[in-house]
Amino acid sequence: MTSMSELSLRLARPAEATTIANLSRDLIEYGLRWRWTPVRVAATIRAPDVNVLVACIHQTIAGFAIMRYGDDDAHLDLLAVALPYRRLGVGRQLLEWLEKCAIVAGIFSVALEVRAVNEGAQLFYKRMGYRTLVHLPGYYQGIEAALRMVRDLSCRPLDQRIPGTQY
Amino acid sequence: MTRRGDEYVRGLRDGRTVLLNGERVADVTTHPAFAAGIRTIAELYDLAHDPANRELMTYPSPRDRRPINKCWLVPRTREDLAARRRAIKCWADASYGFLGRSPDHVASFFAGFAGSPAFYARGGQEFADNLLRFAAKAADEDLYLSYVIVHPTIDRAKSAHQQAEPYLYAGAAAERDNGIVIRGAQMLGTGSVMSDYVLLTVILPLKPGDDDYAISLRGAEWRAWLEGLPAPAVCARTH
Repeated sequence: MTSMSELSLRLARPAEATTIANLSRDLIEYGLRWRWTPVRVAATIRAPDVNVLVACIHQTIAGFAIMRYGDDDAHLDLLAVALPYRRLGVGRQLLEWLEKCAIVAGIFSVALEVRAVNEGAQLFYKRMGYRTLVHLPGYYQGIEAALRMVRDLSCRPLDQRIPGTQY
Repeated sequence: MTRRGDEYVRGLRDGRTVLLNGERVADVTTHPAFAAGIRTIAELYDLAHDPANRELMTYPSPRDRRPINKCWLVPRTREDLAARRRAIKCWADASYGFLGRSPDHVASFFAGFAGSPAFYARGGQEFADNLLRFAAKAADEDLYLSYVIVHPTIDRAKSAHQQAEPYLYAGAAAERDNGIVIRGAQMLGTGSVMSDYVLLTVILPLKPGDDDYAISLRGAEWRAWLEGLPAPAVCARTH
């Protein structure tokens, strides 16, 4: 039984690029051409305006997320949690860590795309405070539609609001 | 007000005690172990002091309106956070990100501390007042603060007060009318040799009975021992 106390978050190391790329291929890019190859992930780890974050349980990468930071907004490029570690709050911790970095940097808008058919992921992001902005037909290599979702980080999600505090 | 690099370097010639492998360093600003690093820090100060970078790197001091580095800015709005980030990034870019403890690092802690004086006032208003007074002084004088934040590695199976010798870790050895006496060593003092003040604190969780080691203070008179293993340590001593 895995417990959250065993989970640790840290920035990815270049040597982990292949593991992360394989997770992306299997958990995110299935049915599409593999775009997040080890070479691309390694370049992303080195990029100064991107955080590649991994969630580790013992020595295993249980999940990862990649957020790109601009001057005024940020973009969640990828987020995935390996099947044995789902429904443990790993995804939430990954996303909150990256969002905190954005807030400290004065970036209060985050956008992401999610497959239009992936209702589970959409529900997760809604619970994290994201709202659907637009439907993007053929967004994924002309094959599959996406929803673009955004979050204003100055607003807390409903389930994180502190009673008695005005938002 | 922001300092020039040469003003910063001159400030380091204050008779500080730095021992490197058992020998006292007469002048850290010229010693080959430290001179290049100090020169790099001085270039950061020049960068921030340059009138061409004033808008990017500084904001008016709330006390006398003279320009002070944005790393001291207590953020109250999204714009403040973004302004701090742009200034800090400018310094990080100048060193290609290789300076993990550049002067903005501990300054940002103090900006955070100064943003929550009520927290420090829980122990008495004088603590909040001390904190705000020092944060203002550090900002207005553009001081380089560093910190020492972990206990020396001795016996990690035991908590601080259970160590064989009570003052291996920095802790309160005595309490007098004019303050407390600190004895012991504290580690992880990156940049301490080339800074103006050292914040002595601890980030590791303490256990019941460790009260004498729950300290957080800053020191200007201090001694640093930089030696090979097994005992590299930086010790801070307050006035």
